[in-house]
Amino acid sequence: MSQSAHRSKVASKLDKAAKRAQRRQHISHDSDSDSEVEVEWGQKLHPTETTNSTTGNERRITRHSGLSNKNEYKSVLVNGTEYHAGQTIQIRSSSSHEDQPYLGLIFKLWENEAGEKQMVTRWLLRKGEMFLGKKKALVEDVGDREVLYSNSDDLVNPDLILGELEVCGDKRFKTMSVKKQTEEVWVCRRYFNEHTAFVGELDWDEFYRLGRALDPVVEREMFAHVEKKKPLGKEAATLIGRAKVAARRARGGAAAATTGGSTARKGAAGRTKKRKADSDVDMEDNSENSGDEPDTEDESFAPAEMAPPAKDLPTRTASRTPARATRGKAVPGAKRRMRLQDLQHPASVTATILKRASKILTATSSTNSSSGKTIYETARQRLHVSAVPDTLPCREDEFAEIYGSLYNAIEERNSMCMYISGVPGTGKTATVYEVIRTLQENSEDGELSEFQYIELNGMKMTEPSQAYAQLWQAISGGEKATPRHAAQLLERHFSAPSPRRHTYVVLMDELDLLVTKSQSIMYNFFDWPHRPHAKLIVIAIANTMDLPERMLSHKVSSRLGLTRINFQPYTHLQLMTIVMSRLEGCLAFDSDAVELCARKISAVSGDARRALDVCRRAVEMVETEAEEKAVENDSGSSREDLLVTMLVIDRAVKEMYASGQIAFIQSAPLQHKVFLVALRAAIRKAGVPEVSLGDVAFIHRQLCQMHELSVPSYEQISAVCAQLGATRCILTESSLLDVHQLVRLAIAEDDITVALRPDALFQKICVS
Amino acid sequence: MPGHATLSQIDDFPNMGVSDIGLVRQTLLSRLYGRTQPSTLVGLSTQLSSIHSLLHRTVTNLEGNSVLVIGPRGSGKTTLIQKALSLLHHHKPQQEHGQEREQEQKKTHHVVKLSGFIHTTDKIALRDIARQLLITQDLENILIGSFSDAFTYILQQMRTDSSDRPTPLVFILEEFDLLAQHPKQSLLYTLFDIAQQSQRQTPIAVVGVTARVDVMDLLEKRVKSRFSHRQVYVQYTQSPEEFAQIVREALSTGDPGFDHRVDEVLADAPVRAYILEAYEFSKDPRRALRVFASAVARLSQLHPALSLDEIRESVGRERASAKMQVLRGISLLELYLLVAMRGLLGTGSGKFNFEMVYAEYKLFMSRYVMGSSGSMKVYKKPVAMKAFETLVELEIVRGVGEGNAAAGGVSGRNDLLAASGRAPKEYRMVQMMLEPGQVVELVEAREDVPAVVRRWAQQ
Repeated sequence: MSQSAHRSKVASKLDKAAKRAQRRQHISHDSDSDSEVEVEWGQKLHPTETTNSTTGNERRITRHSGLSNKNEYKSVLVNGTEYHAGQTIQIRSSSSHEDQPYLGLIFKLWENEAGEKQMVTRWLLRKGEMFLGKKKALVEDVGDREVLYSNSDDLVNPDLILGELEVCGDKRFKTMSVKKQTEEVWVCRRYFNEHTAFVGELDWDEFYRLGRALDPVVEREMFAHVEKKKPLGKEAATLIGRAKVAARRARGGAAAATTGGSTARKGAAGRTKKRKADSDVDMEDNSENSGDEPDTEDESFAPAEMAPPAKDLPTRTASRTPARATRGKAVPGAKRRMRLQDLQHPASVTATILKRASKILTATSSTNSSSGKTIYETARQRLHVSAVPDTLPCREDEFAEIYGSLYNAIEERNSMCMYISGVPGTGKTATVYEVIRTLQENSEDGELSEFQYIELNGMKMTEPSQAYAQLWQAISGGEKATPRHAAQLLERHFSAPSPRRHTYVVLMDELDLLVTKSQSIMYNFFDWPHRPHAKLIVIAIANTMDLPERMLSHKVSSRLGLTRINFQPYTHLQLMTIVMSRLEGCLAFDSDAVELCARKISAVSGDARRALDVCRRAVEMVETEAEEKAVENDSGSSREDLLVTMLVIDRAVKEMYASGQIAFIQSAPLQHKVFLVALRAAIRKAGVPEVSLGDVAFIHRQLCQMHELSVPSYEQISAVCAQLGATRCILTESSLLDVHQLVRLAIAEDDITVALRPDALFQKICVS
Repeated sequence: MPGHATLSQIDDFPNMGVSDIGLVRQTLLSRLYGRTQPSTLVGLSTQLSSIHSLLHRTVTNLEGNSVLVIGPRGSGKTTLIQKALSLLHHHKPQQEHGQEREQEQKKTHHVVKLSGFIHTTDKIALRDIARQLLITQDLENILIGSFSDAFTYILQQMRTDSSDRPTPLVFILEEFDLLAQHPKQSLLYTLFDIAQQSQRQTPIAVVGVTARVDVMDLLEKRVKSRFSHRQVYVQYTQSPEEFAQIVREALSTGDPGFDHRVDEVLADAPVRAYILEAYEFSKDPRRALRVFASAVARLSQLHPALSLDEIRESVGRERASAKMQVLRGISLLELYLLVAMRGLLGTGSGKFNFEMVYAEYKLFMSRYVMGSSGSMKVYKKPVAMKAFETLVELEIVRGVGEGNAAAGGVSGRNDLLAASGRAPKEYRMVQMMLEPGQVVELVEAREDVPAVVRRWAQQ
């Protein structure tokens, strides 16, 4: 330690990575600073030995640190004990509540440019250390002393090594004494592929004796699935996202295809295969990968065959015909887009689409069956903000971008930050939910590694520091801690190596409420993803585009990174699409009416919630009208369905945005009106916006005398003033100041004029 | 509510006897004091139907809704909502038939009432929500967390009660504007967020009630976006006849004899004038009904009819000006000082101290009184000071301190009387809480004031 610390002192000025590593060392020593650990290099590995073994793992390591092959070593001396590469060891655990050491295998030893000793450990996973998500059943039978050899590895400081570890194969383990079996020796029977959650048999004794763990060929065979995939560039990732959107769009189309008969489906499958040939040309990037997929195709296609046969599906009612027409149109485009999808995971995606299609069809059939509803009821239901649409129209690009980045990051087990901004009601949170949902489905299908999704909302916390406690609770699985303690635990969690490291996707909604004076919360949340051991993806959502520049200090906004997505307010065309997509097949609306609504809302805010609310209100208005008509007609047999027209929309918008102030003044009591007029006169006379109540009262009484109204007493006038103050038509000071309190108008002067113009009496008063 | 029960009883038995006069008294008093709302609504039918249909949809279709009811005080907002809620109860049995379902029907929805006056913090509000929904277990534990968490927990508890179909909740938020002043508005955010979210959760309807016209500006942008922007405006009645009818409805019991007497009382000229005045000044029926309180309270077996004299007397009391009442009995010296102050009002900023007032008083006396007759005596400074302090105590004269300048920061105590003052009390600046016109009125009303002073006051 002392040696390395000394050397790093010089180098750290230049190397940022070295700084981070140093901090890590500090942290790990905070917990037990009593014992100094002596670390020395053992035998040096010949440089030529490793140059040709460029496995996927190395590449990943390279990203973490500036690894160069020349400084690799065969062994390391910790406190005098020598540990060789390929040896099983115990590693001091980082978190306080785990008293048992971690178990691992030394995978690689080297010295980086800053002169620090680095070690890559491959974890041996104990019971409960595997992150399986929904595939728990696969490895439920892990014994207490059993470990699984995994392909999850981590950068660990050599000074964390506690000692040797004895692991043996199944056969040898059975011959051992009970004491040994329960206390000293661990058994390894299987290996575990973290990315695919695949578990396979392993003869550990032979594997270990021959040092197979370090053999790249064995490695590739064992964890083949991962090696095949090549991390995608950002462009490609976004393209996948786009394809996903297209696929989701195409669900409708695919559904139509299913109704057509199973032959259509088979045809589609056939096409998929054929397409692959030319699609390879489209994207050279991935052409090599898609070559060796076909054998899996048949297997994963099987579920699609289970989809309900076409004849069982109900034929659509006449009213839905136009809907089908529009959906049908979407098919060719979608198909074209799906080619991209085919590149990546052809079979599984097609299967997913077909599965979904059948699901949707059954869903629609169930809604159709309850046809007791009027068109208004259906329209109202679909227009409710809460009704979650299958896809989010008009946010395809954003979806693609977010999806692509997240997919990439999860797949590569990387960390990242993302900042999403946009005014309320532009679909920020909804889009992220949608992305997360899709990703979760992907990982359920085994297409993507598992990840844990955590949601934090600034609005739903009593204070910003609560974010630590909530995050820790989610990560640790329900442990409660005070925010302060949680922050420490999280700090340790993200900066130290551990086999229990899953990918976390943290959504921070309403970020601006988490801004504190010192900004430590934001700093931490955006700094953790930059730690080498953290597999943390932070998505931050806030309203203002320039929040990082405006409210955050540079050190925070710098950590936030450049991945920023801004959700523009919806344009009127987009709003129209949104409303229309919800109303698909429902004939309650005049198309001009929807356009009017979209235009009105986009002019004000572009808030989709508002547009939906206006439409819903309009439907209600028409519904009541129709009911009244039905009552008038009294026949009741055939109720004529009225349409939502532009007039109705106009009325609904007016109702929602009406300030109500003019109507309020008009309905106010006589003396209130006189008071307002007197106040206006007093303000004009004084030339300042605030006048004392005494002055107003004087004018008020004058006005009453002039126009032969009953002259109020001063008390009555101050009562009037207090009442108006309560409605905030005027602003007043404390009533204890009585006649000396200052009064000011809180409504526009013109509003008074407009409101009182129809009144003959006040026309006279206003003139005088 | 006991008031409700008795009310319906009266409605059920229109021909009740005189023996029930106690009941009548109780019912009317609780109405007059605003404990219960009158059973009829006058002229708010469109508002009623819109609110009722909204709540109805939440209860039957399980959709979340939010609405704001805005209207000035005394315009009938609370009555309106009460009516809508009671209609909701009435509608139920007709909707679904079957006697065995009747028991379940009683719990088709729960109503939670919050008020900005009472629930000044989110925590208090939460506790009361839990109490009104009869959730007691683990309450102290959940109250530690944020409002949202605790509220979600409460909703979960509600779900477990009836697993098949969630029970909709109706939230009535009185004094909505005060609730909007809670830090971060997390209460409103949570409620509106759930109201606009999917039916997975318990559907809720949020009805905000407020008197402030500018309430929408109080909402934070995120809260505003989640609110459905549905607003129902409640206005005062537009005709004096309708106003009189509201007053009549509030006093009617359904008993022909009693109601006849009510009509007689309302036809009385002073009472009618008073009601018209109330209409002109506030249109708040509660103001008009105030004068009937003492007469109603005196109803008994022996006096089963409303006493007109009693009502006339309270009309007189209502009309009287409090300040004038207080000032009626002040001494002549105190009155002179007030007149002197009035004289000072014209000269400067309206602020003066005792020394200035006394100088003005002495100037007047030397100019007009001394020569003409010896009947008026110039009082010495300490005597005048005593009189001045009396005025301060009556709060006709108030000190102008630093605290007074700020709007809300008026201390209960008068500055002049406070022991800790920097300047000697003769030199502390004060303001007169009267208009010049009122001083003149006061002098006119007194008969023992010499003509000279009268002239002085007129100047």
